[in-house]
Amino acid sequence: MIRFEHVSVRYPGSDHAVLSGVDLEIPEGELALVVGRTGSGKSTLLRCVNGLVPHFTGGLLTGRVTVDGRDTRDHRPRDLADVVGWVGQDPLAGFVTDTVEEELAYGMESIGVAPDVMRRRVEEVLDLLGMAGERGRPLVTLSAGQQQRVAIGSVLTPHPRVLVLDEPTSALDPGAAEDVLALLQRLVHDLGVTVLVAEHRLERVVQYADRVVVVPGGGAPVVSGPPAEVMRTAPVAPPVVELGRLAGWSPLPLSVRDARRRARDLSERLSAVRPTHPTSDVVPLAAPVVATASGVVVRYAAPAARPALRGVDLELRAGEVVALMGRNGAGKSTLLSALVGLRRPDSGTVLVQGADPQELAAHDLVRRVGMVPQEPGDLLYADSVAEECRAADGDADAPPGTALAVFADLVPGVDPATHPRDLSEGQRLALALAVVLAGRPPLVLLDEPTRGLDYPGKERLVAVLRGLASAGHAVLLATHDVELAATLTDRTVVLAEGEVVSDGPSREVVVASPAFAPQVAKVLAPQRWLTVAEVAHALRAG
Amino acid sequence: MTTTAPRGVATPAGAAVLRPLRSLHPGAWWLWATGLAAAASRTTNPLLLGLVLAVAGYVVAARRTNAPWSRAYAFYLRMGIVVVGIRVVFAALFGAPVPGHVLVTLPEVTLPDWAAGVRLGGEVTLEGVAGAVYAGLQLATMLACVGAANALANPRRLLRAVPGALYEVGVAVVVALSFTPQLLEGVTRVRAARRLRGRRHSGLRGLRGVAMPVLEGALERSVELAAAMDARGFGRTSTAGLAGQRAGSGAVTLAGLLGVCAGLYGLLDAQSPVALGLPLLSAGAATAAAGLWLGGRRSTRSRYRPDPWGLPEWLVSACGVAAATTAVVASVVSPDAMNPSTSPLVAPTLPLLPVAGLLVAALPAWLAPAPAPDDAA
Amino acid sequence: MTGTAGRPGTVRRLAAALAATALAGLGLLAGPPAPAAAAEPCVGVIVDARLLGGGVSTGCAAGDPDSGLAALTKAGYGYAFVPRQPGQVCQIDGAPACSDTSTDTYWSYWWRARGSSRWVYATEGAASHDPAPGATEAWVWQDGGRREPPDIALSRICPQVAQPEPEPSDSSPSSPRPDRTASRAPSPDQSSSSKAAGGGASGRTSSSRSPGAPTATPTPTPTATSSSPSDDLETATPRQTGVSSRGPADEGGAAVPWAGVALGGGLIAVFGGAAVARSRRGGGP
Repeated sequence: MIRFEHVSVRYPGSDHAVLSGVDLEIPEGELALVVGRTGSGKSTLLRCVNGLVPHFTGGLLTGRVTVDGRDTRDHRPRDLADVVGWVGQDPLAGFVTDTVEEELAYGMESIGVAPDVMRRRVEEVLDLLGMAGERGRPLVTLSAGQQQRVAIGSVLTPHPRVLVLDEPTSALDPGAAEDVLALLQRLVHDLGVTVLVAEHRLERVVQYADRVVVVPGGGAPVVSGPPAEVMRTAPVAPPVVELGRLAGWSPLPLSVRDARRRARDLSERLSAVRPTHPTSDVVPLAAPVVATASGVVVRYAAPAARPALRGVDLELRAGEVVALMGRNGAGKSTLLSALVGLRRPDSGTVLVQGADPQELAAHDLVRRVGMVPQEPGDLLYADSVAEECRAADGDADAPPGTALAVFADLVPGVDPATHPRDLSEGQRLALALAVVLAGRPPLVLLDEPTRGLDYPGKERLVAVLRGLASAGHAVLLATHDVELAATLTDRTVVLAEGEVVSDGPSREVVVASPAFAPQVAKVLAPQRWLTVAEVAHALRAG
Repeated sequence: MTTTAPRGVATPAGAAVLRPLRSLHPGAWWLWATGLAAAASRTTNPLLLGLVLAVAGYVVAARRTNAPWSRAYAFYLRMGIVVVGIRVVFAALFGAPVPGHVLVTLPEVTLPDWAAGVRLGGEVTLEGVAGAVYAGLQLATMLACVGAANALANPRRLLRAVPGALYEVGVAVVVALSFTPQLLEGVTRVRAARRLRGRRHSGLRGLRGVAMPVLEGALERSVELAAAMDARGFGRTSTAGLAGQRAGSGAVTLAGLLGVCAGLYGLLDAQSPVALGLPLLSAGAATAAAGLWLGGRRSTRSRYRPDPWGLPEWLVSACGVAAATTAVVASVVSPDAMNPSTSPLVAPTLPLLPVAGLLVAALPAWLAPAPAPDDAA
Repeated sequence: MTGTAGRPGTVRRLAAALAATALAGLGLLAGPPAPAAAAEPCVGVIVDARLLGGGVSTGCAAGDPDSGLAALTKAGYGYAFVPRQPGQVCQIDGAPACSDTSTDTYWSYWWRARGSSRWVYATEGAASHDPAPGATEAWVWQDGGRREPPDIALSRICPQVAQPEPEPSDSSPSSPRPDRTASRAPSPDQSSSSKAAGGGASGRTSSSRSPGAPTATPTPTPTATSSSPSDDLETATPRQTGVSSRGPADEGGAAVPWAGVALGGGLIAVFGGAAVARSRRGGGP
């Protein structure tokens, strides 16, 4: 169905090839997962299937890409629209119309499908998505998961034979991600669509994949094959696979269920050892309180006027890393905004080092609390990394070079003259973090920092945040990423419907709830192991 | 999920498809609103203008949907008040002196001889202010009619009905319409982020800090959107008989537009020969329409559930046309009632013919199909 | 489209200010007008409607009128403004219909200084131009050209300059109004109303066809409803009946327009209230 023959891609103005010598074949009806580090060329590979490279993005493509017998050299993306459906990272950015129904019909209109056929297909896809009741809803009122489903539905209506998705679940909470993946499963199994997915969060997807394509980046050859084989040597792997590698299981387990069936021996070996964090996970209670929120109530703006937060109490001490988890819409971002003074609570108080952040001047605020928002690009406006860091040093009255040093620590090897918009997601996040940390604020807040980060990027982030905690800062992370919370945090607070549902040591909270448990915990239940590193540490010690 | 839909249709075997009540073709609403605006343009009688506003408001309240764009009418009314205020201020400061009851005397600024016709300051009379209020009210009413059309029929649905040859232009307008709220939202987010960086909002230098991320973000989004649309087949055209046909339809449309321009010139210029006026205008319009039809045949798009044009649409349009016609007739028959004098200021009379026309224009509140219970305001 | 918190407040205040001004204005309407100025020789007014098929008529405005328009009124003519452009005169004594005014066909305004024989085409409007006592002003209907006013000496227009008339002060409140409404009646009899319809003008000398006809005898006794019997025979009678029928109608008609306002206001209130109620309730099928 999809065939790459000696494909190399070089973008204009760049001296090295993004992809070189790619030979790949993906048979019909398979779910192929594309993995690789950030910036390794995954997106480029996906866009080659569609014809966007080189017709839309520009650049030089050597070799041949064939989809369903059509060569992308002769066919532009719009000519391939009836064969290949493409869903980008941000579904809202790809919507052309107002309502669900019209969006589903738009693709078919462009291709010229007959009106009665269009009607039938729209109804079918609405049923497939399970959104028949939302057909007339404006797209902006849907949740992120629903938007992603509508985006997939809108490329399904022309009945393509290939579906290409670029990180579909990165912005979704675990529940919504499950829905989207289940939909993809159904497409592959029931409808025989060939699906090509790029993902960072492998733990969600790898169990469904029929084939894994590893793009190592830097011009190294692309490896493709059955998951169990390829995962053995892949540079990025989910915790289950790493556990399998550690324990020497063969073939490697890909899902929690497979791993549990193998894990009996391992469980017995570990039953005698008490799980401990590689570093200490007890914060002495004598550590000073950095921030408190008491009885905070925040309402949404009119006309909804329902409360986003209903009486939240929270206390943050120096040296601890706290995870704030909860479904989309539970109030996590609102709580962070209240802590940093962007939102005035309708009742209750917020104190950061004894002062109300709303009253503080911007200059003082930067030295008490820093927040990296969901869109790190919002903080950046200069023309180069160096200028951005210099401005940050100036704003925070820090010695010159502080911010740049933090950035180089986070992401080594980036030229300081690069424009911030040219950086990858992870690099941009690192720059935003460096800018915020220039003032060494005692309280650091991060809103969904792991969107778009691959595993090595996450590891570096973990190291940096751990370093901050040891230096006495308090860190609060709002995240969906259970693995990150398990690796990094001491304490977890779960929010639901604007209220704190649980607040306790991570180990207890995270393991207690099946939706939030990391894979290792699920495999080794009822023992409370959170990460592969803990297991490795215990095996070495014992 | 809808709970009650008295006119819903449930198909058997599993898929209960609840068909919403039909909404009126947006063209019908815009024709109705244009008729009202035309009626308002023929009169400065405040009673008639107030009636236009009230009738339009009633129809909007009765037939608008629940969608985000349906709150537009109140916004346009507020804008209308601002318009009237500006007119009054301008008349007081710069308007021609109108004899009558003096309200207040502003200090007069004498201008040199070459500007002798312009007056700055001077007496502000009640009659002058009343004249400004009447004129401003007329403009505000016409604005409100546009607002009513906006609230009742999403402009984008109107763009879906454009002829095939102008499809790409229509999509460009639709995309531009959706970008503005996103841009505004981006500005709010970036301003919040700037506070996080410890920046004060200081005038022009602060502007760069806000403008850059917003514009860059908007640019990225637009590129994303373009890629998505390209991938979905936007811009597909049939390859049969391409070059000659495109040139031919383009030439015909251009000729038609030139004819329209010449015809308009002939109409407006009193000295030109009769043949240059209305006949040329109609011929040019017909030719342009033919050119658009020819160009439309080239595109391979189909239409999903195009809004039907049935009896309710004819009736609603007819109501708008009736309002406009009665106003035009009344302005010929009783011009003084339609334009009550402000100097001297007399109580405006109420000409009954336009009132009848406006009452007819209120009928769409019952004639148009009701929005679906889900979508009712 | 939800308004931000600040704007409705300012806009409401603006609307309240406008309403207050309107109320104040209505109050002013009830008050008495300013008294006329004291005596000096008069200002002559010539109205040349020859291109309209009418003739030339003259009137004398005694005293020192404040503006060209005041002089026109004092000389016994009624006028009307272009409906949407207060300040531009489109109709004098009912001639012609206001829709006939265009860039080429309009009432032009000229003035001639005291003792001079040169006519000056005025560059400012009649409302802002203040004629000095002893000056003459002229209104000439143009039809695509720039026709100059006829050369009539002030002494022929205002033969007796001196007497200050007591009538203007007590009849002016009522007389100008029927005068103006008369001139703006829906039945503009263009050619026959070349003589300005009288109807109670003060100090007005009768009109005459100047190129050749001798001046008519002045009739300085106007009353509120009777027309000044000019000796332009063929137009006198229609004008009288026209005016006299208008007189009582005007007096009675002053009460009737408020019925229109009441009816119109009622309709607006009905629809507006229904709209607000419907939108609050959330409307239903």
